[in-house]
Amino acid sequence: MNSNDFEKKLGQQPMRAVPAAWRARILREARLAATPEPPAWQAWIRELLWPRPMAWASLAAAWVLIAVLRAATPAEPPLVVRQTPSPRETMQCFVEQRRELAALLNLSTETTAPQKSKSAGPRSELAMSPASA
Amino acid sequence: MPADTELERLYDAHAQALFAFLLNFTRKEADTRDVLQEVFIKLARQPALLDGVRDERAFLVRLAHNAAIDLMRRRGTRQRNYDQLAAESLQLFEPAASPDERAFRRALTAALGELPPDQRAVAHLKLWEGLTFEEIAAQLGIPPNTAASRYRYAIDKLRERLRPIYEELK
Repeated sequence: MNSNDFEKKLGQQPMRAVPAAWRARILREARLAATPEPPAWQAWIRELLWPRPMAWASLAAAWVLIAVLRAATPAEPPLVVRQTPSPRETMQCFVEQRRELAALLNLSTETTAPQKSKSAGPRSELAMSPASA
Repeated sequence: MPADTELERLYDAHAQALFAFLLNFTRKEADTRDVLQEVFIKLARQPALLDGVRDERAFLVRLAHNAAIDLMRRRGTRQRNYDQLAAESLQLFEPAASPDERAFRRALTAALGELPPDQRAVAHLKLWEGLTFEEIAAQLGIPPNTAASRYRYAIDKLRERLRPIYEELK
């Protein structure tokens, strides 16, 4: 077997051609890979949403449903606002009630007022008064 | 990035040679496509990669060879059985019209598959690219003597393996 002939024979075997469809694909991938990466915030949003896109879509759909139902429901009558009286009015009311109670018990309003105790004076005055003498 | 037209020019000028080299080296069409794509992605991303390069083909073959070695290392041993199955159905050459030539190409494909990848790479560049040992050595990053000895080993094995069918065809 002549070595040169053998090597020549091997080299004459035509290698398979590169598949034609690869050209477009490889060049497209190369161009895509060379384009600059999106800003960090876009990557962050994508990273946040990407793992569960269906879950996020369901949540958004639920919110839309809630908003639609709320818009479709008729408005409720306004609530009666109960105002609490001010401390001054409360005091006035209390005085009024006390007066009515006194009238019912036949007492004058004066008597109902707290009497100042006679013993509230100084002891020297007590000793000088005729009642105590 | 090289302009789109420049990338297209590089593809049209070198993709066929890179494809043949990678298909022979990796023995898998999917790996060949991945590595070829990786090479062109690298070219698109690094505009200055080819600046000052005198021999584009030699540079690209070296790039492809390194990428293919990285890929094969990443794959590890787990895929060897699968690789063996894929290699058996590999179509390395154009289909031949005559049955004898078809049989010879099938046998040659199988014989090349039995060579170690480093011998196969040298044999491919010598037989199908017509490079000298110095050129092969420069492209694969090995000494010229190593390239020559790998080629001798490869040719001896191929001759031994293909002798019966070669003699029959003569």
